[in-house]
Amino acid sequence: MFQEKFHLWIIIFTFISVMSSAQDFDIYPRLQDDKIKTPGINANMTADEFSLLSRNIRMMDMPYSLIVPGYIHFKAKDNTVGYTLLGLRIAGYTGLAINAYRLIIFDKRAENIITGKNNLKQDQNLFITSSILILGSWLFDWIHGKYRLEKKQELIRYKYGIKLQLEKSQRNYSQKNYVPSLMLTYKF
Amino acid sequence: MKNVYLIIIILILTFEIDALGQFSTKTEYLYLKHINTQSNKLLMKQNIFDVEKTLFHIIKNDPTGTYNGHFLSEAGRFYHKMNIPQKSYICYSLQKALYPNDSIASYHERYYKTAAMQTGLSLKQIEKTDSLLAQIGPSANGSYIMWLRIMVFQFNKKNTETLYKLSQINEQKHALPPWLMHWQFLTTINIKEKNKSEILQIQLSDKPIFEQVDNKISKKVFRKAIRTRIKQNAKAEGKRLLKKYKQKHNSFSDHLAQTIFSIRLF
Repeated sequence: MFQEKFHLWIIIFTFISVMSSAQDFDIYPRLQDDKIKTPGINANMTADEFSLLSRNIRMMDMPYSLIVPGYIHFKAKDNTVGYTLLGLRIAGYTGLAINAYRLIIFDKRAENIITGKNNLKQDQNLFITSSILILGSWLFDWIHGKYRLEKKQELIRYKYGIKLQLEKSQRNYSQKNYVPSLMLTYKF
Repeated sequence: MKNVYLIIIILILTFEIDALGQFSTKTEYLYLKHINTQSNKLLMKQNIFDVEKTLFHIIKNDPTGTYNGHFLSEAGRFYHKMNIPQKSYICYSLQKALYPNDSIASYHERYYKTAAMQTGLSLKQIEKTDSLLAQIGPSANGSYIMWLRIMVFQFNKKNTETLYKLSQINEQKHALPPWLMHWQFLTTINIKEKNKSEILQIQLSDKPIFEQVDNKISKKVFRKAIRTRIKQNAKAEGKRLLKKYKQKHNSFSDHLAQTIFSIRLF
């Protein structure tokens, strides 16, 4: 009896552990802890390039970009577009706020009920424009930001790939760059 | 035991680690040439830091490298395509002055002239500069300083920032000539190019600049220098300069300026 319960607890514990290993609600869990793993960085790589290469756009970033306008572009180090999106989103929210203010202050619902006329002061153009600005800036941030990050990553890989090939093609033992040494690696 | 040592030595000589602290100038040149033909702005933008690093490396550590001239002309084309004419002009002029024997494609000459004109020079000025650059021998002692002098004496505001950066590279290797030290100081305190040209026409010595120029310019230099020190929050140096300023100038406007500076430095 005790053993059965024990096994049950172990199954539950294992299940929770596996579930909790996924760090966000993405369908692809992260399998390695890149906070511990020390990467082999090319000596010429800048910190900006390294951080761009180690970033990924995940599902979790989608709601983040809804809360923080331009979040994906900031992540892709495209600050100009990020701040522009921030400005557009603020403009969108301002438009909605103005519209709501008009509705609250000048709403003549009582009069409407009596007269049957539509005297609502809602500015449809303002509402639609503001909504498009908010939704559009969010979608643009998500789609274009992801594209920009991937493009930048591609170009960094391209740059170092070609440079390393060029450097290897000039390999000459008389050059000062090469340090004779011994390296043993044990893998298991 | 001897055999073991022998094997270890052979192993040490056989294996190698590529340090790759810095890509060679040839690699940078070939890559630059490769991307210049593609004209991909995003790709080129990612290489700006590398080009600058290699340029500094050439001037500071490897002035006699085989590919330096080719790299500089390709860097000139790179900056031209990136719409940074100041740096393009500087790279081309460096190549012309220090590596004139390298055969470079003829279209570089067109880029060089366009970049020079974009920095505000006329064709006549460019021709004059060309003749001066041609006088610098490729292996002449201090040829870099000679190039710097030609460029600095154009008093072109657009080039000042880049030249100031480049003028600091050589500091540790050679003793700087007085004109360059004073020019660096005047650039740090934001003196106008027009005033700089007036000051640098005098045969300057190592003494402080205030003691070598006339009263009118001396006032300007004092005021600008004190203002810069106040901005930098370097109060001790600011107070020292103010004391000298008080000793040298005593007119009404000077008293007024000195009082304001005293309050700001308090």
